[in-house]
Amino acid sequence: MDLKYLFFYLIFPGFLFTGVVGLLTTWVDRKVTARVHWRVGPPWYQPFADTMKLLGKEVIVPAGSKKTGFLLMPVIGLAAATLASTIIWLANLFSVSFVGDSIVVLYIMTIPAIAMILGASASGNPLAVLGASREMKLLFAYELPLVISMLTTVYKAGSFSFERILAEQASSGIMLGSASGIIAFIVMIMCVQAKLTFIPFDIPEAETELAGGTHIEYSGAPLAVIKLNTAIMFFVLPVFMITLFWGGVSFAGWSILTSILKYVAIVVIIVLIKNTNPRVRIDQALRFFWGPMLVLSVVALVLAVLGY
Amino acid sequence: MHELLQIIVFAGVVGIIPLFIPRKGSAAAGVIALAASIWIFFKAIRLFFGTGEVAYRIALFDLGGQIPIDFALKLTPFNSFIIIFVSLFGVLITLYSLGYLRGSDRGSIYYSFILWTIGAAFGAVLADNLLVMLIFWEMLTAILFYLVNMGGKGHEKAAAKTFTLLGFTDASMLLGIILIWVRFGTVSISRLSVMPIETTAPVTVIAFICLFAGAIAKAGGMPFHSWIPEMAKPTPASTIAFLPASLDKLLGIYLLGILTFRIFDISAGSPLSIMMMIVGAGTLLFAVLMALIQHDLKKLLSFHAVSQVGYMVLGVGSGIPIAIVGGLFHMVNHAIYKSGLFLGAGAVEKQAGSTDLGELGGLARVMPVTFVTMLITALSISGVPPFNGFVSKWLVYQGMIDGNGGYYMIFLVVAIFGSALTLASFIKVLHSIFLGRRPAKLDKVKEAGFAMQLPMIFLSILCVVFGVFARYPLEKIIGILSRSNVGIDGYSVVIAKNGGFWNPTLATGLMILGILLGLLIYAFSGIKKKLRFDENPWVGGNIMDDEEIAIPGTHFYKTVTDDLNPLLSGGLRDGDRGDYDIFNIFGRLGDQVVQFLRMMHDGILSTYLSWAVIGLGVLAFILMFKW
Repeated sequence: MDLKYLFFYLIFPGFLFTGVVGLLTTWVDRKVTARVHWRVGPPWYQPFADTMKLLGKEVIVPAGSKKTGFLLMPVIGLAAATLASTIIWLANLFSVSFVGDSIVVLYIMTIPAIAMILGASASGNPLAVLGASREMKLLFAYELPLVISMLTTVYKAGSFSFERILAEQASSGIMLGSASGIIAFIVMIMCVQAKLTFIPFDIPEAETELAGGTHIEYSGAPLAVIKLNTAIMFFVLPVFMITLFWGGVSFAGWSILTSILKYVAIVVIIVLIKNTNPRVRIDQALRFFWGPMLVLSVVALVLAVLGY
Repeated sequence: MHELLQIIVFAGVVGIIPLFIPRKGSAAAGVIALAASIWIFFKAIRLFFGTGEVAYRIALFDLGGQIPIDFALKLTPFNSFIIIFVSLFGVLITLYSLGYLRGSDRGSIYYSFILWTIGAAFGAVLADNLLVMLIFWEMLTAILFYLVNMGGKGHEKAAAKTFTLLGFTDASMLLGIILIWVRFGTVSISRLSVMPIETTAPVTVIAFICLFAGAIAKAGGMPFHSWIPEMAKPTPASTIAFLPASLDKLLGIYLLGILTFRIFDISAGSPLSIMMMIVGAGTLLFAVLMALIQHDLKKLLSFHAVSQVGYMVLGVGSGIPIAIVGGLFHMVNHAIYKSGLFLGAGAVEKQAGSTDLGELGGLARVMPVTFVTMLITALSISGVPPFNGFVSKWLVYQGMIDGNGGYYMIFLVVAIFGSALTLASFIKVLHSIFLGRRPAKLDKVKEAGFAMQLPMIFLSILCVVFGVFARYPLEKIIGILSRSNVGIDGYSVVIAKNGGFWNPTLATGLMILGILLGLLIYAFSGIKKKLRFDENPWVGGNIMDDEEIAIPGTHFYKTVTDDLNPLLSGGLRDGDRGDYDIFNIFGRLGDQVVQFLRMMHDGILSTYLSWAVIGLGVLAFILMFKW
């Protein structure tokens, strides 16, 4: 294995970078939420402090659970989330890309969800199992519009590869500049909201109803890993969207500033949706994604095929 | 004797031996069959790495020199690749059967059938003459009929259905072969492959569709799929892992490959290509929806065996080089993971005594080997990277995006969405059988025997190897295709054209690194000292026993399949009842014809007389106008 990939994966733009920025993003989330609630909100280092505190707590593995699977699954999710982040960032920063990497990323980004489902199922807690079944249903609910809205850009670029998608945007304008791009972008924001299991789609966790659902039995270090995982996904998914629709991110010169602004803009949209909506039921979510969102994404794809 | 013929004759002759071994000594028959299948496997390896094309031919009879029917076998790169897997599965299944059938009263004849199946499959794959191929093809149908008939409750109906559907499509193949014969004067595959056969004339189109029906019925594509779910429940898991799950896929898709890029010239975007893609996409979507509502493990797996054919037909039928590679690689991968899954199902059935998902649960701790192998194979079939199913599906997706036209997007979306539903279905399986709570009656369940474990372990390792080191099998497949005029020029050219492949080896290395990193975080937090195992799961503060808090996976997707959309749920219910089953539809039609004939045979002389008069009148009418 090439040693530079070790660096890419572990330090930058992989684990360390993504983890730190991801945790900072959760701080943005908490801060904005607090301002919406008319509170002050935590200081910027709060997510780090929380992670350290969780690492110090004892770890309860419930009786009757499948111990290895229960403890291993969060770690597998972490590995996959980091890998997805590395692939997206390498395509953006160094044009290291391969054919079909967007599909690969899409699949790798489902691994954290699968790991969560299997971990919850292994815990043997009925509430966790309910959460797991909801997470799975949510997954295939949003997968359909997510894929179609991604294909809108893929069709325009004529390729699955991030590099070509970015090159297409560099030459003939960002995808968001077209009607089909805007519609697909809106659909994808909804799908990302569900992928992050944020309100209104926090159905698998449903804290007031399932008491954490898939997370219910996790504590201590595994819970810290899960939180880190969510943080990383919170960072990766907006960057994924920027790459597909908004010309990608870049660290060269002033564009570093615009890149950050793009990112923060998407994060704030997600946080605002999160703060202004109630949780929906799973069947409502299914209807939402297989109904209006599916129609919208198909409209976007058809517009893209027609050249709009 | 010629080395190609040798294998077929050997399998046929050795297959006779178990017939003389009494029921009690069926283990001895198994050992003989195992030895024979290993020998065949080594022969196949030697042929694979041997010196290129070998042909063998005896003229059987000659009709005036115009239409030679000869017993022709020919080893080509493509079929040498198929036979290696046919014989590999032969070895694995025989080994597995030794453990699986111990203590059952199936008798030694089972091993005869297995050996004959291997021999007939070799014949069908190596045949260089469509008629010879059809003869071996029919043999396989007949043997399958007997194998299904050895099953448990409900085997009669399953066997009859299998035989009817396969027999019907075999007949349609015969019709197709005759049409080819009439039109082109030969049925030799190697001679047809050098002829330019455009699919524009109606006769060629009909011939193609007739042969295509035979190929997809064997592979289990819709609408001729219903024999697989029907036979899944009564038939022993070893049989179903061998025939519908692996061998029949190899054969069916092999024939499809022969049709699409050796005999006929199907170009991408032609009507026949689109028809095949529609069949493929339809198969993969509807079958996976049916799989979602199944409660029986073997039946669920059988619907996935149908669904996955969709990817192969979609890939091979598209006529796009990269998708053809994907389709063929998927055929191999599917044979690997699906027979692995059925073997796992057999292990669960034997050890826990049931395949009903509602009755199982929590077996991961008592059957760890079965769990891990089924987890790997289940993730493979769901197309999760870095396992093998992902690579081949992804090649098919890539082919769809290479396709010229917006409608390819529909196929692409269906293919990706089908993959998500497959994952959902296997999450249900894993939860219901291995995770979750273990019912008290399963407390004494033990891991399956070693003879059963070994094939399962081997197949799941193959899933990992073909996924992580996908480059090597792909190089082989592309190499084969580049010599079969598909328009592929070899691995390096394909790579260069597509700007580099995803590197599963590197990605897997990084994933493992990530897992180690996570474990390091655990270690850093001093998890060893902080673990506590004495707490019960938290259920709102209640203390409940295992039975009360067990949630079976059978109702995971009730929201989707029952409550969401009356059209969808109604359709699925009807589908489950068999309303769209071509077997039942034609059964009803046949019944109506019989009722009509019955009505006429009322035993009254005057009715018969009037029919005779009408018949005479019709005859006279025809004779008058014809002469």
